[in-house]
Amino acid sequence: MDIDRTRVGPITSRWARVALVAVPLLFLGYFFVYPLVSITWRGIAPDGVPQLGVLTEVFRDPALRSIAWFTTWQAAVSTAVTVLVGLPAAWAFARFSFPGKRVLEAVTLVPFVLPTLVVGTAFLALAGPRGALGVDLTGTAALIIIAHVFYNYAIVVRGVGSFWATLPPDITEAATTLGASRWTVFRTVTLPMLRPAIASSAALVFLFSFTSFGVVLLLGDLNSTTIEVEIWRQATAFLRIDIAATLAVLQLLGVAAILTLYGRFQRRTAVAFRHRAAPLPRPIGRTQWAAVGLALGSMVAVIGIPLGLLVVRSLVEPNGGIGFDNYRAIAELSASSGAFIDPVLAIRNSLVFAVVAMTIAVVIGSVASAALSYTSRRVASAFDTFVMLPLGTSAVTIGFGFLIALDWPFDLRASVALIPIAHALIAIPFVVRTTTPTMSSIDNSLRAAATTLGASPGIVWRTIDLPIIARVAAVSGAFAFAISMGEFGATAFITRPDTPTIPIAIFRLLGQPGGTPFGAAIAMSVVLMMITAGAIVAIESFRTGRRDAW
Amino acid sequence: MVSLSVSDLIVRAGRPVGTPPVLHIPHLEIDDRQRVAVMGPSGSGKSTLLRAIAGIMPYSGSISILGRVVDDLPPHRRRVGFMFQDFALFPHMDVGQNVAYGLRIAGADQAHQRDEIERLLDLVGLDGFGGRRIDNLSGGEQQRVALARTLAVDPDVLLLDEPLGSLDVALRESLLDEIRHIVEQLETTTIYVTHDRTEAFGFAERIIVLEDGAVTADGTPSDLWSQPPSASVARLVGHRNIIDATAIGLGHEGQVVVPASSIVVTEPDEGRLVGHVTDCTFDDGVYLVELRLGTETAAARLVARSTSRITPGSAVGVTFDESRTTRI
Repeated sequence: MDIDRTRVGPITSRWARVALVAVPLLFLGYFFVYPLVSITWRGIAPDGVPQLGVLTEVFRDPALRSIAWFTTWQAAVSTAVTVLVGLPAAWAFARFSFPGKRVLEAVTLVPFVLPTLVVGTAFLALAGPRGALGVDLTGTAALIIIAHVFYNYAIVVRGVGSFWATLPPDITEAATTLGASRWTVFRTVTLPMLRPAIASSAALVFLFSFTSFGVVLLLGDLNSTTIEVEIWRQATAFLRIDIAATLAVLQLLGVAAILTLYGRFQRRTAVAFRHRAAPLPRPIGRTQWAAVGLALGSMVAVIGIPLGLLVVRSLVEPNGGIGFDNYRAIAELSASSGAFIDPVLAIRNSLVFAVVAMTIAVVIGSVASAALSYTSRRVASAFDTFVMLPLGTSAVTIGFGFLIALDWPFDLRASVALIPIAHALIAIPFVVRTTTPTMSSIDNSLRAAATTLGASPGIVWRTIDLPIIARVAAVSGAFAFAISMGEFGATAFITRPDTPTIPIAIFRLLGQPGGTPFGAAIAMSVVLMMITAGAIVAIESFRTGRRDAW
Repeated sequence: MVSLSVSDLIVRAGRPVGTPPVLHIPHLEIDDRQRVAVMGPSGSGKSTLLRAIAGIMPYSGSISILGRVVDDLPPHRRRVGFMFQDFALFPHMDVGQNVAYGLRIAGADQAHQRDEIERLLDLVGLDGFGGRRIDNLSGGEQQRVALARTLAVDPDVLLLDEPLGSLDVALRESLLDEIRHIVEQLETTTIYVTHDRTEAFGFAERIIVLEDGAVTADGTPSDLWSQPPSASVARLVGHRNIIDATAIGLGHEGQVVVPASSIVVTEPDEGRLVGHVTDCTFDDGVYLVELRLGTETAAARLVARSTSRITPGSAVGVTFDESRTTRI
């Protein structure tokens, strides 16, 4: 008999490993897979028997056909423009160091974490019926595309930039010494090497533009709209659950196709170059400084102008003066019994939901990360795909699924708990993505080292694993908090009149006539923006001191 | 006094019964305060031996440390100091916290921890580094922190697993001397695992050679050099001329080891043998001359030393000191 006192890994018992997989599996199984299956069944068999009637109706309806077409082409154009606009900043971040780089990197995160409703409101404040430009551009594809570019900019800058930084500069220098001009080097060497990173970022941008909800709901109209918005409209305004379900199934198929492409490109970026990161140089000479400045300046402009304008607009009072009337309106609307929107209650709800959602997401997500890190590779890879699924599924589909499916075994549909659960579901993939690399990077030799220094298994867990994980768990918690604060698509389905969240209140305020509700909506958006900005600051400060970039 | 004794040690590491184990050592004793190097090619079981002693690898058989059987003790009660090749420094702690980790676990008070951090960092030449972050240290500095951390718990046996393996050559020599001086000073029994013979020779009073999971040589560095028990051990300790006795005209069969320093290259007609130079390189102050010997019965290659450069292709005479050859 071998004496085995030697498992220095943190999870030694077989049952513990089974539990690690089972907990997230059950949660996602009930709150994600089961609703999706229910939607699909509703779409295929509205009356309990599979039939093609609704599908034919959907395909024959010229309005729905044009919505499908609009959804696709605006997503394609949004993607192309986002990549083009994002590449220069990706280059500047990947190749140079410069003063204020950390701050600018944090700035790129802002739009991505920003709630869609804030983005929508910001562009309404710019080019809506009451906008600063004085021209109403709502309903135009251009405004939707610009908002999508703004929203997804960070994906390209971060996704391509971080990959670009791993490409050894020697390769391009080698091409130069072989006689290639700078443009030829870019075209024949850099661009082909970047292709998988560009493709995977583009797939994500396409996915988010394809399933865009809040932005399109605010900036589009009945024709310039996405399938996502139409699902919601069919289900809640026209009460055509069958059409909504069919649309959701069709959209799911599209999403699955995009995610397959994404996965393929993503794997290729994983075959990365092992490049010891030498300290990046400062830009050299006037031309490089100008190019870097231009790339980053345009980035700051793209991100800063709409948000700055939103803040400025929040200080313009309905009567035209400058002051805090719009913020006062938040409190006054809550106080007046006539108004059926209570913004203060919405803020309180949002904070409570966000804390609950964050807790659920961090617990379930960390358990899932532990399962990914501590189980066999075969189990882990299948499980990884499963845990990531909610990332690709549109928020509206998740909310719609809750509404259709969660009356079994208990009727949960009226429960307030559904809102934070939906938010947690959306946040879990982010938590897993943030915590897994750190958890699996804790080398067994660290645990063995602690053991030989006299630490028992329990102490090893407490002094080595836990402190290292705690920091990323905090980062992922802040992410989950921000996601919950801004979540709109799923909440729009499952909220009740007496449980508004901030985005729901903003949306309702925008639907009311008059300058006061509009001003209050803008002010609420600024409040929401500040809360999410606070989360980003928290994330960045937790991250300080970590060696590996996210 | 015996510090460490191993008997009937078998490590299977997942290999099925019936196939050769990863490591099999019927008997091994290491004296108190001895500096031992365990040497062998990669995969020979060197690290496995250390891991079994530390208890972080399952084994059958028996291991005693300072006369105490440790087989039933979990690794954290064995009082061994283990230094890992990649140093395994805790990234979430600063230098001082790393060094004091073992003391903190043992419940030492703050003041004692502080004193020990200062004493140990001073010992490894890093005084004032206590508050530094781990990721700002150079490789050599990380190595010293790892050593200080290991020494902090005053281990009964010090186990060093390729301690210089991830450092560049220039650093290795100076650090090797430093480690040796420190363990000499502390009089700690030390087992140093390496695949590099210069490290083994530079560190140890006794060298144990492991090949395919078994001890194939065990002795002082000079014994192993002058009396290698096999061709592979001869190669491991740095011999380059392991050739058929008949090829150099010795009166017996079998293989012999001829130290390069025992060979003298002369004018073609003055030597005992005739050879052709195939290559000539300069290293460590002398020319290394590669020769091809041709006799009626066999052909062989030899490496000899020369104070002057000899053009490849030329014919030379070769003489050697027969008393310094070893039959294996």
